[in-house]
Amino acid sequence: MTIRTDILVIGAGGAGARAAIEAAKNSKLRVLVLNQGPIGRSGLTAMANGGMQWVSHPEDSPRYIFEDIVRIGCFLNDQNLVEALSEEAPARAQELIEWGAKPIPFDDRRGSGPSPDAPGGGRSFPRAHLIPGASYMTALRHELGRHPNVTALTDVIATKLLAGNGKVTGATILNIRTGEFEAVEAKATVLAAGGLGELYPHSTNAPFGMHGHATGMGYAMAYHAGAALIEMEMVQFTGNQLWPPWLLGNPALLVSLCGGQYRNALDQEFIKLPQPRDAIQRMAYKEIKEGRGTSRGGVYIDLTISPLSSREIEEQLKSSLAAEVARERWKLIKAMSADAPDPKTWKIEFTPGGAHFFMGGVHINERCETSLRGLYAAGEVSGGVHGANRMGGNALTEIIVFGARAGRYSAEYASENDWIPSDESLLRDEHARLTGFVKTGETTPKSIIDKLAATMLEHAGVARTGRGLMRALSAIESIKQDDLPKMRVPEGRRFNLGWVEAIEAPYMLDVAEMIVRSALFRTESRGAHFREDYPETRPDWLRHTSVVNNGRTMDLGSVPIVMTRLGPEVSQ
Amino acid sequence: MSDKPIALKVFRFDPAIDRAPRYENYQVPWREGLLLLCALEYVRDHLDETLAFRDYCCGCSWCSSCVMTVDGKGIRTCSRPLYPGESLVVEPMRGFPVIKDLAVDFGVTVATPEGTYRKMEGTIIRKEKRS
Repeated sequence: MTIRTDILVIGAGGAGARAAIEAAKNSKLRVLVLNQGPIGRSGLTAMANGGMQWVSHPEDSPRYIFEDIVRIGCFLNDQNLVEALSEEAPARAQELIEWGAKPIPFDDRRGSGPSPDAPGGGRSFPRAHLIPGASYMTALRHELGRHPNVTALTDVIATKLLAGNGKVTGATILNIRTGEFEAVEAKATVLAAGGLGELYPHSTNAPFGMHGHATGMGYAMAYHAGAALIEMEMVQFTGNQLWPPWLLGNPALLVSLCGGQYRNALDQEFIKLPQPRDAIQRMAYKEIKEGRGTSRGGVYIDLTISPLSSREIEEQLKSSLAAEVARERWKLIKAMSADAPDPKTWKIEFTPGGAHFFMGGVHINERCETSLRGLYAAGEVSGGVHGANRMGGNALTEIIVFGARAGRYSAEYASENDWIPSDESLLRDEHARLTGFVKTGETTPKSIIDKLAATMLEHAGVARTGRGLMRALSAIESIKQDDLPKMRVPEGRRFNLGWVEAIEAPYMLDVAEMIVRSALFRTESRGAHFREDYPETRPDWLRHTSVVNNGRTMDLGSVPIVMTRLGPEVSQ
Repeated sequence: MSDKPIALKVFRFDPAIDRAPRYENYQVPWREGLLLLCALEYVRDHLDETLAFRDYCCGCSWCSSCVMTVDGKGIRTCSRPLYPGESLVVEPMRGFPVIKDLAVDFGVTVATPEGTYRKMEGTIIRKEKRS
């Protein structure tokens, strides 16, 4: 069956929901928005701690925030995108608050704080705000519900973009609830499918091993449709808590909020602050690699030396969570660490290399247009905004700023263009692919994904080498050749999660290959991308890496950066 | 005692195929920090790959997409720590139509010119009290 809509939005996290709301302002257009789980109650926006930054200080200006973002991004940002982000974030955030999002009063004392990771860190002025993902997504969900021309489908994934002659004309979808396959024909398609944390074994996108479904399918679908992607090597890592169990929040934040210290298993302080986020990751990684890690495989954040009292530490740990979440979470932490109830006695353990955010993605311009006509991208699936490093607090602003832009410009496009009937043989092939998985293979999609993730952590993690990346490439190749054909999918159509994983797994391998090839290609170290064999940042690498699908091969290349205000001379 | 496994008695039902729900028993090894949702992941990954539940989850006791009826009470399974040797009965969240096993339809908000309402699909399974 084929569904027709004016605008198809793939993903209903912050970017997708915001795009749908904006597109639906034109009441003549019908908008169809898809989400893998219940809208507003699943996905990464909903689980975000809520750190956001926008200009609010009287002496601050979008100009200053622009410069901070480009500097932290190691000059790899497309500056037209950074201009949009820095100028529009305050208005988009205010709008979200009008729709019912509840900011938590936040005492941003730190101003230009010690670490770019912490709220206020790496910034010229205090501009950190806090809207927990829960409240953020509830506001967007309610606003989405106010538009009768929006149809929201839950428990649905897109499996392929319908593309031909440099145009995207819709997508094929699988209804997880019923197991039914359908085609959606759309005049314009907005890709807002989110990030790829689950390509790594530790990820803040999959807290405690639960699935956020940040599988990177959006990157792979765009790639197969022929869209250009950039900076596919730029994975932002952060620490993942190992102990106490279920403590959420990022380690650098705990250090700066509570006055803790980074210590190794020999009780040596191994990081002197301030340090940028990526440097902390590498230093912790080095401690563990050289045998000074803890028995759980991590390093410590020592809170015993904190100048704060137990009660104040507790308040700080809870401060970035919504009150209800904090209460529940804290009960859980206390239950799980019953033998050490006082946070002042804690040595929090974390492991580096937790995939947190992905800076690269589908290359967009300031209208969120991609290299394919009719395809728009916004949010983490897009590339170009953050350069080589994302400044803390910019993800939740990025998704509403560019979500709104993608909605606006896709609506313009849909008003001026017509549907293009989809190629029947293409639909038949896709249906055959989805239903053709074997039922009796030797391996499960999950074990393939686990194998891939282990490879990515080892060779494409916080510190990379040419030799390691080559190994990763051959490991990915062997998984594709040897394991994929033996992948087994459980029987049954309804809510068959094994089937969903079987659709995700080959795409995840493609995304992994893009990461590894791009990391091999960028023979320098910059921001989140660190090559042990090329530790210097090289001026001649002040370019985007790019990946394009040319029929059968992955074409690597480099494209110039859009520089509107700060030229290459400033970056030296 | 510290490594005694968890015993789960889990509601299974595929409305498209089954005439009535049934229960299956699974044993999950205990580990430090094990939560109920992760125990269900373990069942799906290692014991029975056909088990359906909402695994798309915020993991921080907010989104509620992981709510289920556990020992007769509706709770968020991502925030239910497990203790060695526990036995639990896990059923779908009451009051919502069952899609399959533990996955239910929470509905979608639909806007019309007359107002907004929630749309759900399927039938609600009720367990009658034995007299």
